[in-house]
Amino acid sequence: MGAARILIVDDHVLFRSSVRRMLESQGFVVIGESGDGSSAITAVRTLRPDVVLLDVQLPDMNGFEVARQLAEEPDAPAVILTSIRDASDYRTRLIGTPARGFIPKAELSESRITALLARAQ
Amino acid sequence: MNRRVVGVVVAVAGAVVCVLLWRAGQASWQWGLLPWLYLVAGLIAWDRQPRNRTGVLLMLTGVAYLMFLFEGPHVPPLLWTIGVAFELAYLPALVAVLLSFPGGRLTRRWEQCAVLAAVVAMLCWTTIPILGTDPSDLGCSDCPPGLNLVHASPDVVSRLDRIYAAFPGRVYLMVPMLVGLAVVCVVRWWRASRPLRRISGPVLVAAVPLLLALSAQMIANSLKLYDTHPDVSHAINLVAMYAGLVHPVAILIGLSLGWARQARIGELVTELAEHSGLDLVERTMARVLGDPCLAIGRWDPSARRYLISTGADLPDAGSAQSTTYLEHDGRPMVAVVHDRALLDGGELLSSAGAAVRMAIDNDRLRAELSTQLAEVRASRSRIVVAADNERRRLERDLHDGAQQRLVSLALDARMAAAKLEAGDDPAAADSVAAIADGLTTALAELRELARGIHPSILVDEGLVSALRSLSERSAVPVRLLAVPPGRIEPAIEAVAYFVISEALANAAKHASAEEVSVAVRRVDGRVLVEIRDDGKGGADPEGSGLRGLADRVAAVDGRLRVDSPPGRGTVVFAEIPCVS
Repeated sequence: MGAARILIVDDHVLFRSSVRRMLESQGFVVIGESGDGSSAITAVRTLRPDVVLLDVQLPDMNGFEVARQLAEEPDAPAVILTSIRDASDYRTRLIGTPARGFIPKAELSESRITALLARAQ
Repeated sequence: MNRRVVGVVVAVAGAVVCVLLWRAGQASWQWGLLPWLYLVAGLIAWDRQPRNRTGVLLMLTGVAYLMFLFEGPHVPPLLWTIGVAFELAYLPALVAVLLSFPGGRLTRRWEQCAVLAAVVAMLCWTTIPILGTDPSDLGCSDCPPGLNLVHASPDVVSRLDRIYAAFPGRVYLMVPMLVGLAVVCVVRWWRASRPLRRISGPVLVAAVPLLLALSAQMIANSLKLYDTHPDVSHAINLVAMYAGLVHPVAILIGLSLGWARQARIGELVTELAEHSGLDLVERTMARVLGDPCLAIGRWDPSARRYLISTGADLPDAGSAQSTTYLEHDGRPMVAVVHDRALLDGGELLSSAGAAVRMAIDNDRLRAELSTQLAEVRASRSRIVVAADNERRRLERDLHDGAQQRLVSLALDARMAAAKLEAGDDPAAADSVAAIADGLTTALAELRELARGIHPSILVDEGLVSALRSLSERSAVPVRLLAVPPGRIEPAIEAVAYFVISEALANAAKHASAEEVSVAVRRVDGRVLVEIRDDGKGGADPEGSGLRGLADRVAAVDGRLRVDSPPGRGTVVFAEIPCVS
């Protein structure tokens, strides 16, 4: 498998640019950015990413809902949820989600993402 | 001195005088008892109700009846003369007592005229003639010497005689007067409301026989029945005398029935104090005053009319009714439509009025209190909601601001570390510089947030510095017109600060104002805060921001007023009590 093609979904521009720089420096290919849930779904249909890095708190709908809708797409991408909060804030919702996993924003790194993707496969 | 002691002393003194005069004169014992009975009845009435003049009138009647005891061989000449001169003084006294019952006041003009006529009659029949009379003219062997008190010349005497002669004989004037008085008593009793009828009943029973007997006496004397039919004359005299003895007692009984009724006013007060719905006040007052048609209307300031308990207009007083208006602090409060006869009830109506006034006042205070309580409850729950909203806002501000920035910086730092590890020093140096800038911004954001939670400058340096700092940071130019230099109670300072801070934020965010002026003044133990902008106005005082401010101000017993006519700027005015 070649470098994973990633879509970043987050409403904070600053965070998107930081995480894009980090991911690109680690060898990922960032194919697009979205600021909210609905534009993320549209972007997934057009760009067909391998991975979606999805913030939980979005202005129009929450990340769990976006993940649920993405899972119903044909050839659904792997979804990695992320948030400024840590996992303990989302206990039950994390258990029921079709997403691959959750990484707090402060702990985002290439190794954590790769580990999640590898584990799930 | 105690009124009762005075009464007892006067009664005893009266008794002594009556006994002495009775023994000196020729009168029977009943004539000795008569003045004393009136005196004692008057004293009792005066003791029970000093403001009711019936007591005083009864005492005066007693003094008038005393004149009969002045006639006798062993009575000093001066007393004898006074006795003869005022022999008829009982007439005006009796007229006054009967016409003024039970209030003791002659309220109508014709009543006053009747008493005056009786006085004039007394003066013309006995007083004036006797002043110029010489005892020898009377052919009176028992009469003391020197009766001609004024020592008038024969000229004056003949003039006095002419006045006496011009005046009609006693019988023609007094008999109609006494019979008329009896008729007035009966008519009044007939027309009276139920309770008043009960009071005047005993008086009527005693007064009518007395007046008729006096008339009969007058006619009998005019016909000289004492010569032709001495038995008839004696019988009439006896009836007149005994009726006279019963009369003061009857008046006392009538008055005491009134006192019993007045005691029920206490009952009224108690009942009204317990439940003070208007309909209950009306029912209780109707029952106590014995007027089933009584109606009470409460003043409605918005309708500017008196409304009864059902909300309908208070009916106008009928022909036999009268309306009494009760006021509170000069403002109309209650109107009572009642039987006109209640106006004759002396202090009864005013006592009942005072009770009603108190009850309605209680009712008003209760309503005000419950409104205030509801307002306090509502504002308490609004304060809780506002505090929750504030916390949510803080969480969101932290999440969207400093936290996001710090997370990005963490990612950047990790990346810089990776670059250093790979030996890419120039790129790492750029990253570290960017991280430092980011940290500075994050710190500024945190500082701003902390200031929003509670400005430390307000606590440390007071309102003047805090407001200067606030106006320097304001998005709209601020003119600080006045700020009191000293420190104020911290809670008041905080409320004033947040009122200004919110008003400045509104002026910038919603009003598109170009300039805002701020003034804080201390006046008479109050802090007055005024924020005036030149924006577009039309602010909603019930909007969540201003409502929250009003609650905040109300929490320290202050008041917030917002004046924001569309197109003419906004004035936010807060008045906060401040004792320190």
